[in-house]
Amino acid sequence: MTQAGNKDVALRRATEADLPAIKQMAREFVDYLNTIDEPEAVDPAIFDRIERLAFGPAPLCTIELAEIDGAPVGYLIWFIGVETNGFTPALHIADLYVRDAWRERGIGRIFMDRAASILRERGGATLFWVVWNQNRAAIDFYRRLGAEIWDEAILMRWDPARDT
Amino acid sequence: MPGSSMSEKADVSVRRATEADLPAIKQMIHEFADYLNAIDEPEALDPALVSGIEKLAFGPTPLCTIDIAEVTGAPVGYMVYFIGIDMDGFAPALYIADLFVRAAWRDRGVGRIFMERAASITRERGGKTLFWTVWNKNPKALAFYRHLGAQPWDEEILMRWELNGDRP
Repeated sequence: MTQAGNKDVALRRATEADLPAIKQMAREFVDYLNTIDEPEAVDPAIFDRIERLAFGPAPLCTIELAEIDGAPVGYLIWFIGVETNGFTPALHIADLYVRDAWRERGIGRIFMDRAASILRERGGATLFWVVWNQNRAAIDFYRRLGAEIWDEAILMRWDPARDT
Repeated sequence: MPGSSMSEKADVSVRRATEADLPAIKQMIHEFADYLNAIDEPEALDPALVSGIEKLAFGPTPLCTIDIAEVTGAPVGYMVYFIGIDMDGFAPALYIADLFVRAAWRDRGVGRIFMERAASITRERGGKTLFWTVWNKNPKALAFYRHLGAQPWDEEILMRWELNGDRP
């Protein structure tokens, strides 16, 4: 248990039983991003894919859930890769979301500290993630944490099917 | 094939690397560092760090895969990658950690063979997106990737958090 404001936040590894709550929050996350700029319709069916990614026979990511009084207030999705500057394990954060009513109470920080401690246990020391450039609040939060914008590196994306 | 229009292309074969390839891989990692150091800001590469690749790729729980390119049995390049996810499409995604082609074998399609192989691995896993980073002082690499059809993902800001950095 960690304190968020005057409430106790409990973090635990999500299970399949949490899927309805996770999908609901993933939808809220999209709604939140859509209030910032350029609303983009999202096919609701994509949220069903979380199940296979996180709880299938060969999971590609792990989901942590934050709860207050047993109610879900946020989630963190991460996976482990490598970085080839120091040849160590690296943790990639795929998604971090805290529900509207629970923001600015330290829950994001609790998630990030959890991610850091998972990585340390694996012998790594570098975390990576991306932030939408319109999401100033998130960028400020991560910078306060001690993260940097890695601007010497250009992030490339390739969707080969789109080209052909 | 001699005499064909492909004569400038090397007869390259790509295969999954094994522990037996570690000496060649480490040698190429050093060559890669030398290549980058020739561009700007030379930084000594600690051989002890390079040894970390063994555990990452061939330990009890490998975190990445290495593919090696060979021409007549001699190593000419390597690619390090791992599978993660992409939260735009909630799908598997392939992350390229390193891609290197030895100096004598550049501009002969070896990089493209690696990238097409990475694309096909992504498809086999049910994904469609590949991610990687390029040093902003390596315009040649950037041009290669753009030519391939990849784009800088400008809407996103890449964040890095070094736990052993200046944070107390």
